[in-house]
Amino acid sequence: MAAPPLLAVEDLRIRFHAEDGVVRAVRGLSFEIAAGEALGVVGESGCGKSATALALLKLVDVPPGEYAGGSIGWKGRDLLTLGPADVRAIRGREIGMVFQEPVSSLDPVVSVGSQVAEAVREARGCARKEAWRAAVDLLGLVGIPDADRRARDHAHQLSGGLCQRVMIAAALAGEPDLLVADEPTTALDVTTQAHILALLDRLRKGKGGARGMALLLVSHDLGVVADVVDRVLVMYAGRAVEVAPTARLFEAPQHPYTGGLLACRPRLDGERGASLARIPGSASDLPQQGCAFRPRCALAVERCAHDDPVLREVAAGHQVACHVAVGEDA
Amino acid sequence: MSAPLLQVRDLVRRFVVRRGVLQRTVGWVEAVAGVDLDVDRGTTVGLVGESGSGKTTLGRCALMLDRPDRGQVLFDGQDLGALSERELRAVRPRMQMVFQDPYGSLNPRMSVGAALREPLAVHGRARGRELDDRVSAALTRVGLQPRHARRHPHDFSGGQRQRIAIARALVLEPELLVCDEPVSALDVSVQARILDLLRELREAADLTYLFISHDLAVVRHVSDHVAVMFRGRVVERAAVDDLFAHPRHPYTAALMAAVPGQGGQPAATDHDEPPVEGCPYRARCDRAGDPCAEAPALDELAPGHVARCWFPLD
Repeated sequence: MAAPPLLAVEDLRIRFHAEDGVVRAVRGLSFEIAAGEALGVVGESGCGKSATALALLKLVDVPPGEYAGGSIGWKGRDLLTLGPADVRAIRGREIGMVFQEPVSSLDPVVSVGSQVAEAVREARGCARKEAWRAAVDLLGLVGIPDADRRARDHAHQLSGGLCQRVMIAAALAGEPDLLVADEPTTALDVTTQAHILALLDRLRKGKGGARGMALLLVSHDLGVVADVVDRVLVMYAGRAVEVAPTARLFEAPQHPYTGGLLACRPRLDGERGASLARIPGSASDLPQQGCAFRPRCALAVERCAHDDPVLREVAAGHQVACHVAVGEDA
Repeated sequence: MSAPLLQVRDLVRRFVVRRGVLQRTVGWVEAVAGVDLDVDRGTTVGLVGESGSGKTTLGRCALMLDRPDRGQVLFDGQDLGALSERELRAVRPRMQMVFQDPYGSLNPRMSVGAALREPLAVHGRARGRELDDRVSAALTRVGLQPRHARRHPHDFSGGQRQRIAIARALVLEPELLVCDEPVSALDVSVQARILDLLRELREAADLTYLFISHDLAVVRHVSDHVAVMFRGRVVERAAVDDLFAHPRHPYTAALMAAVPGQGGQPAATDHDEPPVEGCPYRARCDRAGDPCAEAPALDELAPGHVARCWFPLD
């Protein structure tokens, strides 16, 4: 990649100060997203993926949270050192965000059209009437049928899937260069989920009248990101343990944790009746030193106990943080 | 072959729809609109559908946690609707439920031991020393340790809490377990272990399951038979391998295509449509034609494979 990346996260560290000590949610995370690229961030609860998503909009609550190091480079500027006014100017206009709970993220007493129009006014500073028209257009763009009429509806009159489309419309108001979507389909039915994922894919690729944008899709489910993203970053205990092009990650996962995640999920085309693979232990077993995954790893060797592996390239675009992973010929 | 352990016959459950400040009754919605379902002893029947399909209501009605408005529930041949509350109480220990949310279904102030002793005491099944033995046995059975009885739910992870909820359901030694989305709230690595546990228990504790889930891959993994529900009706029912190899109802096919990570294409639309006369799936269906203005009946398309569709897939 010759062009500078749109987003360059470098050694990001986020801590939360809890009553019984400090939780290191993100422990030195680095990744990049190019303009128009879709990256999936996958991991289980507590791995730091949501804290990372929030940090990209500088939305981590401080305190109890704390940006404890690193940088978030956005078009060459470090978001973490920018003042509140500069961050607000980027939030919504350059980086949009969609969360998991669409129904509770919407204001129950204001029509959904007005909420999208408000986002348009915020982002573009245009007049009310113009903002309303833009809002109706956006609602149409995200696939809400009869957008003219639906814009007057309130959140409780819409299904969960339609509410999520409204949230996406609001996030698109500023025509962002990057959309951060944190578990956008987790609360939705499978058929609805498939439609929302297809919508994100369409918006990203700039079909249907929208222009292309980069996408950061956060999920606990590898399957959810599989059909949409170009690359996947697997997180464990606040760090990237594997980064690879999507097809490659599914064909030849290198990190034992990635392999475990893929194997422990029943598949429609899997063998029925067989026991599912297990990842023993739990993510809360964090060793004092060495590889964070070691207590749960079947392949751990002596070196893993004291030497914390760093990401290294094992094939083109494929990085793994593991002493045992061997790369191309695995 | 003996009679099914659970037989649901033409079950209907309606809920009142109220509107406005006066909460006037403006109509009824049939959450379950005439369902027939058999669960044979020692088998697992998976119940799939999207939210609002009536699958949870059906599960609750099957245990008489919710009284059906019409139809019958036969448990081991007994018509549960015809029983008095007292008679029903005698049957209840034989059928238990496991819920989705292990955080909400356990009392945070009650120790695990107290939570497990409660059903035993309520049903007068054990006293004193035997009470503790039964609790220890149930905890061991779900992969926990007897000493965990002294701790409280907040000391446990989500997966462990679901084990506790399962232990609580098992302590009465039920024959039928209705599991309502038992792994949906758990991390994928934890899901696998709970699914394996449920399967081990089926053999070890002679259990029969009604397994409710929106997750097709999970249902396929655990079930012997599968019923697909849409808008309160069973639209397709078959042995698991038949259903997944040859889905006949367009809705079943759409559900399968929508499972992420399988490279499928979503169905044409997911939009809400107002309830229509005739086939409830008509507005979403790409195979719909004139006959669909009339509601189709369940039709046996192959031995043991039924679907409710005028234009079933081949």
